[in-house]
Amino acid sequence: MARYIVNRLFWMIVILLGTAFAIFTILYFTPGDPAVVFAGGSATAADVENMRHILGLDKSYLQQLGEFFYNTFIKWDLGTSWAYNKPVVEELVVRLPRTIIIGLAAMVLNLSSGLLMGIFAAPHEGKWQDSLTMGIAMVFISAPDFWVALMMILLFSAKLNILPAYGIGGPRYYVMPILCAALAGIAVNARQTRASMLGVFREDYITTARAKGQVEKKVVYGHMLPNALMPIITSIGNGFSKIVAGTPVIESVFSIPGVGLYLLTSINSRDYPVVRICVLFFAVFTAISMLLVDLTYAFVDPRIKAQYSGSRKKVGKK
Amino acid sequence: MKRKIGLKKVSRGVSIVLTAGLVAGSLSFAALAAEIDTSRTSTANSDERYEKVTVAIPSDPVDLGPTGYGDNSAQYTSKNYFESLFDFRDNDYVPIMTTGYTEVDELTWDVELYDYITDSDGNNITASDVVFSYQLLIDAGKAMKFDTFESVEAVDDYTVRFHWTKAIDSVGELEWPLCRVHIVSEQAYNDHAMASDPVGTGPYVVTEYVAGAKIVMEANDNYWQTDELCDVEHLANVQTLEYDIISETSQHVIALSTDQIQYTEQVPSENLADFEEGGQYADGHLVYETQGSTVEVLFPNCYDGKITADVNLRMAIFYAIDNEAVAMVAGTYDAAKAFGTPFFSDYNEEWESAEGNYMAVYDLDKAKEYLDQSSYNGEELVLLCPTDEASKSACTMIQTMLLQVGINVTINSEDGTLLETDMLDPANWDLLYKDIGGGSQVGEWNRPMNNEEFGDGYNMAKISDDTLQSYLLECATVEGHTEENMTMLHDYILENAYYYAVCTPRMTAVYSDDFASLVYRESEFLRPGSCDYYLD
Amino acid sequence: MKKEKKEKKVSLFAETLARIWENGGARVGTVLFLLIVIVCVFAPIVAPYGPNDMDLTAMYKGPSLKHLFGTDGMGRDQLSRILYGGRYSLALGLCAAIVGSGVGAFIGSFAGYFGGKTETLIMRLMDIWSSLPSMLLCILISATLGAGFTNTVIALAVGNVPTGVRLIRGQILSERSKEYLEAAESINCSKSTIMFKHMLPNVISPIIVDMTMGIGMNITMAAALSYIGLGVQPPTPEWGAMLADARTHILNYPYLIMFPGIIIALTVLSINLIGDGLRDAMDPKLRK
Repeated sequence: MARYIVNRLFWMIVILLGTAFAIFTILYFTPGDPAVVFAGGSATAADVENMRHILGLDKSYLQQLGEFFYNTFIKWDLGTSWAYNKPVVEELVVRLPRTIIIGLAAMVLNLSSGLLMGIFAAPHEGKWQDSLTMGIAMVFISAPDFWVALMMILLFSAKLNILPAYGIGGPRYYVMPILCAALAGIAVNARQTRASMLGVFREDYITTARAKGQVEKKVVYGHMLPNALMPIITSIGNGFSKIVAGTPVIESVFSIPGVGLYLLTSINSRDYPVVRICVLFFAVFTAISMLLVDLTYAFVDPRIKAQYSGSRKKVGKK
Repeated sequence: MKRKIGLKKVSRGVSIVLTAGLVAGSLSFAALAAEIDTSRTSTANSDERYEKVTVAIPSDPVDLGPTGYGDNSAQYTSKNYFESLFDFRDNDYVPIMTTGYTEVDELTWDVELYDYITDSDGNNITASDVVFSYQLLIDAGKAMKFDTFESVEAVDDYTVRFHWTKAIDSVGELEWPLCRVHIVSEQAYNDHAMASDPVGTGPYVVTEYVAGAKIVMEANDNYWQTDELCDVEHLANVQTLEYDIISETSQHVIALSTDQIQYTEQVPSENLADFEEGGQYADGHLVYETQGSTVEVLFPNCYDGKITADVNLRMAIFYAIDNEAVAMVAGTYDAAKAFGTPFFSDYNEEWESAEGNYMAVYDLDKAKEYLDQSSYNGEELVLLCPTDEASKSACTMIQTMLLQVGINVTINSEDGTLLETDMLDPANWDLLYKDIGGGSQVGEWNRPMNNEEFGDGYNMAKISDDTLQSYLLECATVEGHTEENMTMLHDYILENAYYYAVCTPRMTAVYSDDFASLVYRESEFLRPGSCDYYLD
Repeated sequence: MKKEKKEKKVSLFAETLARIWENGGARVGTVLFLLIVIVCVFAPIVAPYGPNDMDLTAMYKGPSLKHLFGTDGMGRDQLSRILYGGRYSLALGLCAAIVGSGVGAFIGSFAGYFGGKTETLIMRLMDIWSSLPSMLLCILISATLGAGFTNTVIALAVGNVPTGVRLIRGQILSERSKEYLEAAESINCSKSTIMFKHMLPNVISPIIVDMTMGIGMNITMAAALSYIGLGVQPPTPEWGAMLADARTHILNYPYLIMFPGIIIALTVLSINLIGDGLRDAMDPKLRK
C-alpha cells in the first residue's frame, strides 16, 4: 500500500510539472499581447514596450519559463495578478468558498436525485417508468445551462420576484446557481446508477437471492445497491475534482465572483499569472481527488488491495 | 486660520488658471433630466445626507489602487476615494488639492498644495507624497501621455515643481500628468494593500471590496476640505455608496425594477420605454438620455498593397453604407454625420453639410460609380470588430449593405485583447470597426490619426501621410485649435476617404426619482456624492 | 470465410439496430433527430426566408403566421435562421465529436496495445490533459485560436480526447488477454494489423456511444462558448450564437431566446436518447 501511494505521489509531481510546462507554453504562444491590454487603450508603442519590460515579457521563452518554475516551485512565490495587483493565492482563497458552496451543493443534489432516479428506473427496465424517468433526467442535460439560468431568472426574479437575480449574499442568492449547476449531473448519475444496477441485476447472487424468495425491495437495496455503488464512487471523484474549477458560465450569468469567473476574466485579459496558478491548482486538486478515489477503491475492493500488498512477482504472474 | 489662507489662495489661483483656446464656456456641470422640485427637502438645502445609493457597473474595476489600470469601471469608482492635483473640466485644469499653479518659466511650473490635506487615515499630504505618487505611477508603467512630463520634485513641504520637456501649447496636454495621477501618502501606501484596500484623500472611503461583486464606500467624515472651498464635484451627499458589478444587461433591468440598484447606464434600448412614463416600471424611475462621448468608426486599411488602399474602393464602401440603418440595428445609437462626436464643444456641425461628405449621404449609384473605377475584383474583405452585440449587429448590417453593391465582406469579431493586438498588423484586416474617444474632438482625433502613436510611422488606419499629420498637430496646439484648421483637416479626410464615422452611442441612464439632479465628471462619469437627492 | 464474416457483421449491425428500435426512448429520439436533420438539410426548400434576409420594417415582431418564430432585431426570420443554423450546429457537434473521439481512440489504442512505458507516458499525459475541466480547456483553446467554425471544432474536440483515450485503453486492456490475439500473433500478423484490423472493431462500440453523446454535449458547449463571446462568427445563424445574441432581449422579446433554446434542447435530447439506446444495445452485459 505504501509503495502504491509513493508511486502515485511521484506521478503527481510529474503531472504537476508537466501541467506547469504545458500551461506556460500554451499561454506563451497565445495570440493577444498582455502588454497591450495592461498598458491600456491610450498607450503609445513606447508605453507598450515599457509595460512589456515591466511584466518581464521582453525576455526569451526559456528565461521566462525558468523564472516561472523557479518562482513557483523553489521560491513558492505563486505570483501576483497583473490586473488585480494582488497575490493570486489571496484572491483564490476569498473566491474558493463561493465556488465550492455551489459545486458541493450541486453535487449533493445531482447525486441524490440521480441515484434515486437510477434506482427507481433500473428494476422497471424497458417499461414506461424506466423510459419516463430516464427521459426526465435526459431533459436536464439537454438544455444549455446558461439558457436554463436565464429562464430561471426570467421566472423567479423578473416575474415572481422571489429570488435575487445576481450577486452574493445570503443562502437565497445561491438557490438558482446551485440548481443550474446541478442539472447536467443528474442525468449522468441517473444513467450511471441505472447501468450499474442493471449490470448487477444479472449476477448470480441476485438470482440466488431471488430464488431464496427474498422480498424484492430487500434484493434491490440489500444486495444490488451496495455493489452498484462502485462506479458511482468514480463518478463522485470525478465530480469532486471539478468542483474547485467552478462553472464560469453560471458564475457569469449570476455575477458570482467565484473561481470560474476569475479564471475566465483572466484568460480574456491575458492575466497570465492568474491563469497559470489557477490551472496548477486545479491539477493538484484533481490529482489528489483521483488518488483518494483510487485509495477508496483499494480499500473497498480486496482484489485491488491484493495487487499492491503482495510482492511484485505475484502481480506479474497474474 | 486655515480657512483664511484657503480663501486667499483661491483668489490667486483663479487668476492664473489657464483657459485653453477653444472652450465653450459652459459651466453647467449638473445634468437635469427633470426639473428640481424646490419645494421638497433635498440634500442641497439641508445638512442631512441621503442614506444609500447603489450604482450598477458592467465590469470589475479590478485594481482599486492608485495605479489601477485605466479600465472604464475604475473611471467610475476611483475618483470617489482618490483625488488628483487638478480635475479636468471643459478642457481646463480645475485646481483641487491646490489653488492653481505658478509658471516659473515656460518649462517649469510650481504647484502649491493646501497644507491641511489629509487622507482617510489622517496622514498629512506633503510635497514628497506627491512626488512619491508620481513615481509610483511611472514605475508601474501606467504613466500614459506623459510625453510633456519630465520630472517633479518637492521644493518645500507643500510645493512641488514640475519640469516639462517642452512649452505647454496643446489643448488638454496636461490632462494625464495633472488630472489622472492619484495622490496618496507614502505612509498609507506602506500601511495598506491599496489594490483592495485603498486609502486616498477623496470624499469617500472604501469600506468593502468584493472583487467581481461590489465596492462599498462610506462618506469620509473627516474630509480635509472645508465646506466653503469644497469643489462641487467632491461632495458627499450620500452616506453609503455601493457599486454593484453586473455583467448581464438584462440583470440591470431586473435589479432596477426590484429596487436593488438606483442607477445604471446599461439598460438595453428596448427596455428604456419600460422606465418611461406609461411603462411597466415607470413608477419611481426616470430616464436620462444624452449624447455619448465616443464614436464608432470604420477604418479602411490604407497600408501599401492592401485592396482598401485604393481610394475609389474606399469611396464606394463609404457611399454604400446607410448610417441610419446601422444605428437602428445597433441599439442606443445615433447615425454619425461627420467624423467626430457632437459631444465635444469643438465639434462643428457645419462639417455635416460639407461637400463630398460621404458620411451624411447614402448613395448606391455613387458607390457603384466609384466601385467601377476601382481595381476591386470580388475579393473577400476582412472586417475586424469587437465581440459585443452592438458591434456585431452593426457589422452584419454593413456587410449586407456592402454586398448590395457587390463588395464581399467576412466578419471577424475578436475579443478585446486579440483585437487590440491584431489591429496592429495590417495583414490581419481590410476594414476595422472600432470606437474612438477622448477628452475633446482633437483629442479624439489623435488616436486614429497621429502616426507617432504606434511607433512605426503609420497611424491606426495604417496611413502614413505627412499632410494629415501636420494638419492634426496644427489643430492640437492651443493657437492652432481653431474652427478653420479643424475644418481643413476634416475636408482633407473627406477628400482622401480616410475615415468613416458610423454611429455615436447615446448615453442612457435609468435612475431612481430620489435623484434631484445628476452630476457627471467630465460630462461622462457619474459622481453620486455630488448629485442632489430628495430626502422626503 | 470472408463472406461469412461480412454476413455476421451485417447481422450484428442489424441486430443492434433492431434492439435500438425496441427501446422506446431511442425510437422517439431517432424519429425526432431524423426529422430535425431533414428539415435542416433541406432548409433552402423548407425555410420561408433566407437566414440573413433583413427587413428593417419588421424588427422584433412576435410569432405570427408570417413569421412563425418571430423576427430579431434586424428583422430576420427566426424560423429560417434556426433551420439554416441547424446545419452549423449539427455539423459543429458532429465534427467535434468525431475529431475528439477519433483522436482519443487513436491515442488510446496506441497506449493500450503497446503497453509498458509508452502506455504509462501517454496515460500520464492524459492526466495532465484532463486535469483542467473540459469547459475551461475549451475556453482556453477557443480564446487562443479565436472565433470561427474550424477553431470552435478544435476547441470542442480537445476536451473530448482524454475520455476517448481512457475508454479505448480500458477496452483494449480487457481484450489484450483474449485468445484471438494470440492466434493472430502466432500467424505473424504485424502489430498494426492486429491493432487496427482485429482489436479496434472489437472495442469500437463504447467509442460510438461516447461519440454520439459527444455530439449533444458539443452543441450545448458551443452555445456556452458563444455566450462568452467565442464560437462562430456573425452572421452565421448557429443556434448557440443566436441564443447568446438574444440574451439581452430576454425581458421584452423572450421568444427570441426561447425558440433556439427549445430546439437545442430537443436536438440534444434526441441525440442522447439515441446514445442511451445505443449503449444498452451494444452492451453485451445487458443483452438478454
